[in-house]
Amino acid sequence: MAEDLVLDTAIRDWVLIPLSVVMVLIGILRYFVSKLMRSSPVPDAKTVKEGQVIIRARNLKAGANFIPPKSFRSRRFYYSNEENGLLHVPKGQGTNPQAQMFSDPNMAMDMMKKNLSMIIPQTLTFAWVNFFFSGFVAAKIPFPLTQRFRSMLQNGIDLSTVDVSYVSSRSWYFLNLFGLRGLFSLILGDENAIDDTQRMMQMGGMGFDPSKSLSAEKDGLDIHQHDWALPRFELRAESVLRKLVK
Amino acid sequence: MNLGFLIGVLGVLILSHAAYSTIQYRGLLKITEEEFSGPPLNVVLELIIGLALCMWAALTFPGKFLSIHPDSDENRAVSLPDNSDFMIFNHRGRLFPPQIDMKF
Amino acid sequence: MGSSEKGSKDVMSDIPTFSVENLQNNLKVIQNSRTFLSIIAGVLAGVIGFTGLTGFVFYFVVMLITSVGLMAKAGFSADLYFDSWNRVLFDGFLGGLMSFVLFWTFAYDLVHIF
Repeated sequence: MAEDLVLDTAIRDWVLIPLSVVMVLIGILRYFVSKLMRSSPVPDAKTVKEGQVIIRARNLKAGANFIPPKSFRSRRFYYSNEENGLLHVPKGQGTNPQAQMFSDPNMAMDMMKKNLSMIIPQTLTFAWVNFFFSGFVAAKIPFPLTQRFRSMLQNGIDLSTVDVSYVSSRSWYFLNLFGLRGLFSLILGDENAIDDTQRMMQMGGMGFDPSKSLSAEKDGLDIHQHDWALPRFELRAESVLRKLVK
Repeated sequence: MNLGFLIGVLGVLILSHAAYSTIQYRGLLKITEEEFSGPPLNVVLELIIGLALCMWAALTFPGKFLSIHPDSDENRAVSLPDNSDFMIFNHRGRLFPPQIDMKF
Repeated sequence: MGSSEKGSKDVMSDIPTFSVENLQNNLKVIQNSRTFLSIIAGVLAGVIGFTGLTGFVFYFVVMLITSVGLMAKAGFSADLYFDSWNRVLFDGFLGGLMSFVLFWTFAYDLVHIF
């Protein structure tokens, strides 16, 4: 292991602290900007209807044990029969989400806005960090790591003799990017819960397909095991009352 | 801003002061060229106090636990769903003329 | 009496009847407590100057204390607020690790390496 590096205090005062503070502030700024740019979507009657049907089916599934078997069966039939059940989607009629997206410019616009509010600040900060702070050894991780982490932690300095636990400024930026999520969830509340990684995942599966969720809900209803709970409810009520009396 | 929040802020302030005095102490050690073995006693004390305050704040500030039992006292009142997504108007009651004047 | 007691217990555990919103609220409370304390633990570990394994041990100690604190907050009767004890003990245990490491590194660097 090499000797401990002696780092200038100016690096702390002018690289490490500003970088971290800027990361936090940019996170907050981005949150508010995306809040400003968020447009309330105009509900489309068909989508709303489908959403309501799904919710009703879900409610039925959740409360299935509180109705008699016959009622449950008739309701299930209402939702999932093959002819005109509410959840039944005839083949070939499911709309292609991609096509739908392109036919509706608002949707594409919305997605653009979302992506922009995510990508632009990130590229800007990255460029800023690169421009001002490239090539500093800015931090040291207080635990040893293997050589494999070198490319991750010492992005931007090409010195193979430096101990791996030293972190370059650019990698400190990345560490901040991932580690500050907890802090943001504290100071911004849970609306920030959909963070970057999740959002990226969502982008992959973009285009919400209602027919798919309809048929998923249908399958869920079909395999649901019905077990009427009410005949045993007197016992339950008795136990609850006993507990209250006690 | 309630008490828990103030206590949390106080704890964080104390912690940052402790950090600052440790920095000063390290600077002193560098001048006298001694080895750093651990933070001085008053810093340790400060850290413990800060941790205790923050612990208190973390346990009180985020809110109360709500009972999940349907038969507990707080959950007794039958409440309307506050989520309007779950309100369904397309049901058989629609056939009846609305007779309630909307006063609650 | 014994058999009816047992039967009623079966009935009680049969159908989950608890308020999901309240459960979620409770879990959120736990999550917030843990996140805040993992940040604080990171700052502490950095200021004291823990390195290597000691720091992680410190994190787990703090989280254990937090678990005890949360249990005390629930009045040591978890079934009133949660569907199982594990929720109080382990929820968010590893979620705060990233924040912990970041703030540990940050405080350690501020205080010790310059």
